[in-house]
Formats: sequence, C-alpha cells, structure tokens
Amino acid sequence: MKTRTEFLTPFLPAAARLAAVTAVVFMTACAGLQPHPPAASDVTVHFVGLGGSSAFCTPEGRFSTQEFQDNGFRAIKLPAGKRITLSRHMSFAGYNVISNCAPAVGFTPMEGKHYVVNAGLVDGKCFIEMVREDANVETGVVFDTTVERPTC
Amino acid sequence: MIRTVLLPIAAGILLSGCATSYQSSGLTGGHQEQKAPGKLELVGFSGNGFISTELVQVYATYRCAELAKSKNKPFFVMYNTLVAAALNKPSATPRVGSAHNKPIATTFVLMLDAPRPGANNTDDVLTDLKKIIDSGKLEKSGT
Repeated sequence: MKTRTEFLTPFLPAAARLAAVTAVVFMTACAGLQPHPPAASDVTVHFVGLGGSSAFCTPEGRFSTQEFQDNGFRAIKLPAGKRITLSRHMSFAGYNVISNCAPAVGFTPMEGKHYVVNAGLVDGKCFIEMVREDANVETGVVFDTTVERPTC
Repeated sequence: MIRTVLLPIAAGILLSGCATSYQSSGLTGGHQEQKAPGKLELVGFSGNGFISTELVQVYATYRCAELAKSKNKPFFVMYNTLVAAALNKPSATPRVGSAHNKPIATTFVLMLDAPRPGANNTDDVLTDLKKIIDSGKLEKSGT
C-alpha cells in the first residue's frame, strides 16, 4: 500500500510546473501591457488626489501609461475620439496589511480638451471621478457629458 | 486593585497622546495641500487610527480657513468632489474616507472676495474652531 507521500509524488512535478507556468502567465500579462503610441491628437489628463498608477483600455486593447509632470500636475496622454476606460490603481498600507483597489471611469476624450481625474477614498471605499477643464469658469472644471460606466 | 484602576487610565492617556494633532503632514498625519484646476486648491487632513472622522473634518475645514486668511480672502467655499465644483454644489464639511481605520478628509476649496450661497466666513471659522484646534477635542453637544 502506498503512503500518502508516495501517492502524491508523481503529481508534484506536474503541479509545480503548472504553478510555474501560471506565475509566468500572470507576470507576463502584467508586464505585457503595451505602451500607448503617442499621437499629435492625444489629450492630456491631469491627476489630483491620492497617488497611484494608471492604465486604460480601448476597444483595441489594454495599454499602460507613462506619467509626467505638466504645470504642477501628474499627467498622462490618452488617445482622442475613442471610448476609454481609465483605471487608477492605489495601495493603502497599515497594521501589516496592504489593501489595493482600482476604480475606473469611462469617457470619450475630445481632441484639444484637457481633463482632470480625482481619485481617493470615501467611506472606506475607493472612488474616481473625471471632469473637463475649462478656464472660462471660476472653478476651472465643467461636467463632461461623455462620462459613462467602465466598459473594459 | 491599583492595576485595574491605573492601567485603563494610563492606556487612555497614551492613546489620546497618539492621536494626530493639528499639524502639517508628518509621521502621524496632518494637513496637506495640492494644486487643483482653476482657482481650486485640494486640501486634505489625514489622521491615524486614534482620531475620529469628525475631528479630521474639523481640522481640514480649519486649514481651508487658514489658507483663505493667508491669501486675504474673507470667504471660501468647499466642494467635496470635482463634479460638485463643476455643478457649483458647495459642501458644509469636507468629505471623509478611511483606510485601515485611518481617516482622511479632503475638499476642494475656492477662496472668495465676496459672500455667496454656501460660502464660509473665514474669520468666523477661525474663531469658532480655534478651541477645538487647541484642545484636540470635539465639544460635545449640550455641554
């Protein structure tokens, strides 16, 4: 009669291989986000609120973003005229626990316009909001009618 | 007997001593400002696990008044979100959230030269909240 260890041994290499392949697939997926190819028509999105990293998707796929400083704001470039879902990935550390969240917002950026994204916490949950910049109003922002639910 | 009496008192003193006081952002939290669109400024106050959400809101409000005073603005309006700012819907208190029981209050502040609906009087806020800022304690209603 085989012991429990002897019974499991033939399966361990396969399990280990599966775990390794799974890990590689996950890591590849993370590292494999394509950078967005810059275009002259790109719009600028400013970030305020809590820090983090961002990614976005269009019907063509998922893309990573490269943050830069623009007039005192953290900023990214996004393609104009496409339905976009923009997500903000945030981490919170405390009491030996790290919590992560990635709220997302959908909208269609228009060429020549600038946008502002605010991300943070409310009532123990993460939130994200997006408005359009407009220098003609006192608050500097106006509601953007293209804002919708995330789609991808 | 002495232990049962002294230990809770000592713990209470220690814990209340740990709560974030009104200060610039440091190890245990504090206020911080961030550039925002137009004439808005994002004001936040983050606390540790020993401070109440209400007190964090008071600290953030007081910081808004301090900033307005420093810029010689007799009035200010708070908007809790950018959408609220876009729709001109002021808030009476900053928005508060928390992670790991650490509260953080944030608001977009617009400083004004003249009063308008929803605006706070800078000097009034500074006067009304000074006692709480100095004591680090909220006054209970009816006392």
